[in-house]
Amino acid sequence: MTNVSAENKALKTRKLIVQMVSGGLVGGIGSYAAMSLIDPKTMSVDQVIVGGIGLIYLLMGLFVGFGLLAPKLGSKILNVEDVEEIHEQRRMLTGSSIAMATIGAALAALALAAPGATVSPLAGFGGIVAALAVSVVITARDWKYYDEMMWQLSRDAGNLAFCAIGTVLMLWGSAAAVGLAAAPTPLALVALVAGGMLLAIFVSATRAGLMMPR
Amino acid sequence: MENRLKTYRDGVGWSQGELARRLGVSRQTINAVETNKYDPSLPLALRMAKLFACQVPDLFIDHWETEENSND
Repeated sequence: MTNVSAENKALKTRKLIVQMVSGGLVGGIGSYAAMSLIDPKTMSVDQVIVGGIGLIYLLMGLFVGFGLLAPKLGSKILNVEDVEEIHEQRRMLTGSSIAMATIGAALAALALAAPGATVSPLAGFGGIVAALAVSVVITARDWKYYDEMMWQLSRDAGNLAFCAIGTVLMLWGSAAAVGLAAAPTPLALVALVAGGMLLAIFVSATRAGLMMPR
Repeated sequence: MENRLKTYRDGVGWSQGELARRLGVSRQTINAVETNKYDPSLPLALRMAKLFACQVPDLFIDHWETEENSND
């Protein structure tokens, strides 16, 4: 192995450790903050799952947003080659940061929404409608900047999510129809769609090598 | 699919960012092609070959053989 490739490998390993530690820290602090604001014991399993998925979206959006606001630090914690790449991808990263944070906040609010609770049912539903509208506007604004791999990635993630969510719903619905399982609750459906999309994006991005340290 | 994109890119001394800019794609796309994680579309492969003044089969290595050749 040449000195240059050994040095590159060491740099990549160091960056991976920084990314894992910072991601773990943000996740840990975010979870702790969420736990101190709400009492999970008073929530149903569905509420906790939807809230948890919302928290993941929210933290990812904030993480990317932070990287954009502080590009030098962002180049160390985000999977980009250097500061310049953050500037090149600023438009796309800004859009995904806003969309992810908005969807995350809306999911968390929905999980907490109930009659008489801090978040009213109308606010919970309105948040989801607003978050979806924001995502549609951002996607429509940005898709002309997608290059061919981004399109391919979007199609892969969409296909994967459709097949995975469809299969689970088909089986769960069938089992519930014949009395072998309880029917999915409304929040379980939301969790399945939001979680399924997130998982599909991760799988597609991993397959395209985007999760490899750079 | 295996390819020699990095070899050709190194040959002209361009960074991934420079090649991405010339081809109108993201750096992530160039990185994914070079690490064999993504096979570019035919138009992009043709543009790459044009940029490096070579043929597409010089850049991308396909091990598939026709039945006639594999029987030889």
